Amino acid sequence: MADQDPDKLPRRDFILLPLIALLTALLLGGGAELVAGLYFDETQIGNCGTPDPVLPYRYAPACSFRNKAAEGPLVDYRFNECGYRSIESCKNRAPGSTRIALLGASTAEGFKIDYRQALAPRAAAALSTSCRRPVEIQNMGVAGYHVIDQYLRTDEALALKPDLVALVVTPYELVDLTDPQVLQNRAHPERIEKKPSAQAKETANRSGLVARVSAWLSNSRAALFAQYLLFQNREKYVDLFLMHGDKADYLRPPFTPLWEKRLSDFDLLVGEMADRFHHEGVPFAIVFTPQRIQAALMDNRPAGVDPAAIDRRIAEISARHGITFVDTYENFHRVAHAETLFFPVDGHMTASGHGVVAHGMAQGLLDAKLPVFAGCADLPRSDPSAP
Amino acid sequence: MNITSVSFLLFALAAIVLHGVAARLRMPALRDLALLAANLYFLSTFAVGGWNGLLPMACFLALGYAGMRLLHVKQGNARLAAAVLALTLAYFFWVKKYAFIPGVLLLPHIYMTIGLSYMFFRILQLQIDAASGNVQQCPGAVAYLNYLLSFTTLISGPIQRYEDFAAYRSAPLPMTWFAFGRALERIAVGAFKVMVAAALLFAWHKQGLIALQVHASLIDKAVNGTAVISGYTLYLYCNFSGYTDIVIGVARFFGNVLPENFERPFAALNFMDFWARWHMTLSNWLKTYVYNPLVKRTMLRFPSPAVDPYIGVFAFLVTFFLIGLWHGQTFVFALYGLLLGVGVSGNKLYQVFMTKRLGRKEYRARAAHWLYQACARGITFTYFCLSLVCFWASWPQIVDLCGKLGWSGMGAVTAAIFGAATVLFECWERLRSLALTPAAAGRPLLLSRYVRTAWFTILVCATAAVTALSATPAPDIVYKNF
Repeated sequence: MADQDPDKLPRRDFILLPLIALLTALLLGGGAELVAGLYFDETQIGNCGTPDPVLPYRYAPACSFRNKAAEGPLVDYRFNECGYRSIESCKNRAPGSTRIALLGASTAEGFKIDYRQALAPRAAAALSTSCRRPVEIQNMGVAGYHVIDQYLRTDEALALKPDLVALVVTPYELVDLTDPQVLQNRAHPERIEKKPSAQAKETANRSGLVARVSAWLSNSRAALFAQYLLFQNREKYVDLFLMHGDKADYLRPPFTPLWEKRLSDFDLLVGEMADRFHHEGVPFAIVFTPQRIQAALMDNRPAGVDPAAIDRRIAEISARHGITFVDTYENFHRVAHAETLFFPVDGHMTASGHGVVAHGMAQGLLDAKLPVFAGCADLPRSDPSAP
Repeated sequence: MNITSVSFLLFALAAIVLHGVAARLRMPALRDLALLAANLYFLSTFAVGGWNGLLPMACFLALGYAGMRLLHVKQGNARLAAAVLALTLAYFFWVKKYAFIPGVLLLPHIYMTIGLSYMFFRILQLQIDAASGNVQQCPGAVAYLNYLLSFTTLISGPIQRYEDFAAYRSAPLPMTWFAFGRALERIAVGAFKVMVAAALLFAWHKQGLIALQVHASLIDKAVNGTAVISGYTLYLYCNFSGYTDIVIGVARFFGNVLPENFERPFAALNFMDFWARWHMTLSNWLKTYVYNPLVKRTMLRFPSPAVDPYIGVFAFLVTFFLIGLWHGQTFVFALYGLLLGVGVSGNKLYQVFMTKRLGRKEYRARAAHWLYQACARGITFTYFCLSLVCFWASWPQIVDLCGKLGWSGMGAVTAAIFGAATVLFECWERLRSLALTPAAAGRPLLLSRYVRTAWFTILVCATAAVTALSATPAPDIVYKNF
């Protein structure tokens, strides 16, 4: 039935057969890209980003847009009259209410999360129930912001006349080194010269072909789908993540000089922020949220790896400046397979992850015995990951 | 070493290169020693219990070799042959810890038993052939070890006859581009079956088992029971035939053509036909060394033509009962053997009965009808699936499964498997025949090397992607445990 063996393979077959194999592989790759594209589609309807003279960008006041990230649901983003992702007005404060100004990046903003499922409204709801009075959170979180950007918003936060300022910090927000020029001019924002981001510079420096291949790979839905499946396996995910050098070095104490520099910049910036807030009589809290890798390392960690080392250091920094430190990492211990509370490839928390953080944040603030929460009751011990 | 691992592929590649270099030097002794080194290394990767752990297997090999030599020298001595074979059998039962051996007599330490069951067949074959004078020249120690420990057949066969092994050793088949392509294709198909298809089917079987733990409707029971029972059968087929494909492909690089173990078993129209297509080398071995001698001796004892057909029925029952026993040491495997024996002998009885009732011509005509054939395939598959429960489940698991399904559930599962198998296998046969119809130069287009190259690429890509991305590794080769 099969083709019989001639004595020799025809010469054309030495070209034809590898060509067929190559074409088949390309077709498979294209097919995979097409199918993965359907599953991991990306859409954005509207855009609320507006330029800012100092900050990377801002959200326009009273604006809304819809976004479907490749790895996540379709989400509505609505911003109040100050450009914050809160339903409460930033200008008219309800009488008798407690106001928290929440600074941070994508985690604080609730990136990829429906508003009601994000940490800010859930923490506010928990605190309101506990304190039996309205507690509102003006969510100033903006995806992609660095700690220096939070520093530059200190006055803006104070302008909200908050009862508390909280800063949400996740290790990956510390990875980019602070621009020395911005750090030097931080007290005089008008002198800050806006530069393209490190990523944009890196892309610009690459040759055309490399940049195109790199861009194709980073935009490839098939590659994303492959990573999505790959990272479901905890062991493989941990092994691959730990292969990163600098990016994963915060998990391997003692910290490298580069991480020491990041932490020392962080120390300087949050120290000065704390001084400003305390000077105005506003308590300041740092809410630490873990990365997916830290959640994956909770039960089983390789030798030399300490996922909580960075929390302890940030706790030390906070204590030195009289900042209330709320570590939500501990709350992830109560959830089996805590790494499933994060989107596998992108690494942001899912709605369930936000539930854990919201519960941890609210309970941490209550445990801190801040005067603003005096007389509030403890939170019920319900399933923290329940959406 | 896992046969589907990258380390196995690298090891096989190294062994092929070593063997090829030795062959180029035109020194057969060096080539055999290179092969022995590769075989011993492969065996060592399964070593347990230190040197003590190797001793029982070493003694088994030595016993087999000494017995073969002795029987070769004392050819025709039936009593001696019986004694040697009994000793070999007894030793095998002892090291394999069969349930009927008292626990106090068993070795207390851990030792290596990998491939022992397959060595057992080869040793018996060598001894029987040596005693009956079928072997002109006994293999030397190196050839004997290479035959028994060959890494391409160590784990789960196929059971190659020594004469064929020796023939390919003395004159290995040359490697042409075609043979090269086919060997690679065979490995790719095998890897896909083991690492993708078997893994998915095993997950289906497991999922069904979990789902059966909760109270459910009759339809749910039928669906989950079908997943559990037929899922395992399909999984075993992909796992075992995939392994066989891989080792046949690898052995071809050594100039050896291993015998086939599977020939589309689910296309079988009856249970006897099924066993001519499933684990073929085991069936053939038992046919040669158990069934045929048994039929011959019984016919001599009862020389009546009226009894002849029933002698076949009896011989089938005994042979397949032994197949079941070989698979495991507990009484569940005896039950498995009994079910296989009843299946094959019942099938034979049915043929005898129908031939008597309808006449050979009419019976053949009816059996050739497509509906009859579709139902026959369904019944064969269903019976095998149900028998196979004794293969994968322990007695408490069987009791639990029956308890979960209940009488109505078991009836529904049997009906569901029969219905699905009848329809799906019929569709498959028709589709297959349709797909093979377009031809060029008198040969099916689908089997041309161009189409097969594309197919090979798809399998390789799919296997690589699934292996790299899957959260759980594919299950190991099932027959490794026998």
